[in-house]
Amino acid sequence: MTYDPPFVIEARGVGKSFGDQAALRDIDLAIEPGVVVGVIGPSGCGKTTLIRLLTGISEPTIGELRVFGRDPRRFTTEDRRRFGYMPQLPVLFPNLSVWGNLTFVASVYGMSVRRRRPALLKLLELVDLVEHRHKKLADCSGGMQRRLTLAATLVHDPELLYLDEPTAGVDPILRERFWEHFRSLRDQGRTIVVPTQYVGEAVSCDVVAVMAAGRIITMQPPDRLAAFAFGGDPLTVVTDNGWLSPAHLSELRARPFVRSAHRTDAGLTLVVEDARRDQEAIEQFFRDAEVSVGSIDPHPVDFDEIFVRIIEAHVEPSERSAA
Amino acid sequence: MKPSPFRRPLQISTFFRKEAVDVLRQPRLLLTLVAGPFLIMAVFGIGYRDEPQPMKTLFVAPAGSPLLERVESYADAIGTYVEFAGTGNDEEAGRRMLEDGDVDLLVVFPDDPLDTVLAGERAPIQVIHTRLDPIERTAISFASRLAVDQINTQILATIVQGGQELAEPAGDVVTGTDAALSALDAAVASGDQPASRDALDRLSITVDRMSLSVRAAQALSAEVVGDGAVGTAGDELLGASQELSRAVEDLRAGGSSATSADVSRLRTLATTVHENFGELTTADPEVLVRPFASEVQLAVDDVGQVTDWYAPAAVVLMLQQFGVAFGALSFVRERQLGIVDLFRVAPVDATETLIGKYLAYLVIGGVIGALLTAMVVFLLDVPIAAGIGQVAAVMLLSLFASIGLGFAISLGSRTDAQAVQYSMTVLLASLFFSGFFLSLGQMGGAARFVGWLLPVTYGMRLLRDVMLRGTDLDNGIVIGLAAYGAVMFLIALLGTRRRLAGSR
Repeated sequence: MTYDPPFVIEARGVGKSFGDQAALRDIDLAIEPGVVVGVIGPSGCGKTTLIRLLTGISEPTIGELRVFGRDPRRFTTEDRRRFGYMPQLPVLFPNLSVWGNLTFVASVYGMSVRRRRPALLKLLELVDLVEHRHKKLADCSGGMQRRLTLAATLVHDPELLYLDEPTAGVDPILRERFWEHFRSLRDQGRTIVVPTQYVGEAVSCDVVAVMAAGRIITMQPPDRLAAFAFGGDPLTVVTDNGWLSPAHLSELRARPFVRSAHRTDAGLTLVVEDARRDQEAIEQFFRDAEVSVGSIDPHPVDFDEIFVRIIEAHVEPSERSAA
Repeated sequence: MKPSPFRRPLQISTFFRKEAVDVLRQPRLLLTLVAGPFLIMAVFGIGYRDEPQPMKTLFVAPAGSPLLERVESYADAIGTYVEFAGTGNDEEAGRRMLEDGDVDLLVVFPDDPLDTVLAGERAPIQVIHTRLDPIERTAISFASRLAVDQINTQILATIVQGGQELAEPAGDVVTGTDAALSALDAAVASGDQPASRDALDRLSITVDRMSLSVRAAQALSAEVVGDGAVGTAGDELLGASQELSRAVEDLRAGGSSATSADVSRLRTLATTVHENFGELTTADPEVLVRPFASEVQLAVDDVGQVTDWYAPAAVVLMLQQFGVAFGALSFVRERQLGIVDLFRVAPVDATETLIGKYLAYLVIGGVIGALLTAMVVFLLDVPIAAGIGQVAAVMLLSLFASIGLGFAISLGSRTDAQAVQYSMTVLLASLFFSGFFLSLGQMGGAARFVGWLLPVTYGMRLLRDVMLRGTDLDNGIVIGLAAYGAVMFLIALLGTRRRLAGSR
């Protein structure tokens, strides 16, 4: 799969307004093929609007957008065959059976009647619906409907997948199976864009775009998100023989590589410019201060905390209600 | 994934299948679509009364009015419409009975009809009722006119009868003419010229008197019932009488002897006068004042039941509502379910989507139409005078146009409640403007225009023609319906394309 230009998705200064309300502002994106991109943000921050622009369902008010090197508004039939879109809500036919819905989508994508059966059964296995394939969709639970919608999105084996909150309402075991499948698709060269409210799922992505109030605040690999959120690498320093004196603490804060330092029960939480580079300087400081250090480890932060810090640091209070 | 080379037929068939399953998953609805109209037609056929329901009528006239004495016989004469409920002199009491529902009609005769008539004006007979239904009001108005005509006719018949009685003595004159002719005949046969002249003089006198009576009777009849009503008998009577007078005077003036041929001619003329005179004076005055009776014949075989007229209309109306209702809900339901987003991003064209949906509704609607037609034909005995192919063609064209109208409604609706409301409006308009109950000929201007905006108007007319009259399809209406369907298809296609293009 090659693209010209080499990005599957490119956006420059894209904005979308509904009347006076700006739903998206200054969106810049450049997504290479073969990655899983997580789009994380609170409800109403513009994730779904962004996906709708990328699919060509909506058009931007401003800016330039390219998918497969083409304006999504001008997608040809062939372009549409190359991507799959799973909307946020289950959108299939309640009067058709699980199998009927899947074969409907297969036919819409022109999948040969003779060859489709094994592929469709495999998809139903993935979403754990083989046993329920004869059930009418209206009789299925919300979770089952979402799983079927995911299977329907994968029917035509697209190069690019937009999966809007694919794991909402899915149990943790099945959720893990889904992510395994997404990673396997990624390994086959597929590009997957996954808007989600589950901040913890960021760890399963190759790149994470954090959105709030219609903007992409940052786009980082998940292991760089903490540094972005804290303004450096957060470390936990456990001391063996007491705390640093206030004078030493002030002195530490004054060091150029230190972004912040706070006492904790166990010792100290320290944010430094680059943990690997600055490790030795930190140890030297504690030796000079005659405080014995038990351990210096990366601070154990969860993605919820990272997310909250990013929002607090980059979104104006007036915008936070919208975020 | 490489798409199948049969991608388009595959897509059309999948939309066809989806819509068909959607409908067929509702067996009770399908049963209602077929059995509902049939049962309605059956109950309507059984319950419909061909004769109007007689109305309980109270007659009011001033005390001592001679009209009251005769009113019961008047009521009998117009018995189809009137059930005699009595007479009275108090109009206010009559109005109270009317308001209380004790009587349906109150007929109030004028106080001084003779004075009014002598003053050169018609005397009004008031017919008072409380019915609000416009059709009932029209029927009452029509029946009142018939009833007053009936009363007028009875009065006229009485007058004519008087005229006939006045003319009766003239019969003696006719007898005298016959005697004079016989004397003339005998004189001519014997060659007795003086006797012949004498007989001619007597004949001249009796013919003059007869002419006078004839003119009087003829003038009376003509005055009373009009020249037209006196008719041929009156004309012949007057003509023959005048010719007889001239012939007698010619013979007298000529001075020559009358011949047997002359006598024979005079007798022929006298016989004509006699016969017509008798006809005029002995004819039933009721017939004389109302000489014509109407006999209505339907020049279409096998159509007699009221259901025969309504069944084809009900079938087309049912098909229209099937197409409109399912079409109207089709796109709007997909939009509400969010499925339209699936189509927007899929490699599917508006044409395939639309054709698939059209085919599904055409096939299911066609089956419903066939079942419904079979039931009304075999169980209600409604005829199919023309070929079954023509019936099928009308049904498919009607469905095609109706489904298109439904899709157009669907594409213009934001919610299914809106779509249902628009469909109901189409149904209501169809009942009023299509010719289902009221003939399209009774409508004018905008109402007729609205009628032709409904597929059922075309389909109903065509199906009645082919099922009841057995005539060929009216090409103009067929082209009109096909064009209507084509325009709706284009509107639906453009709307579907716009919808699939996304919300901009």
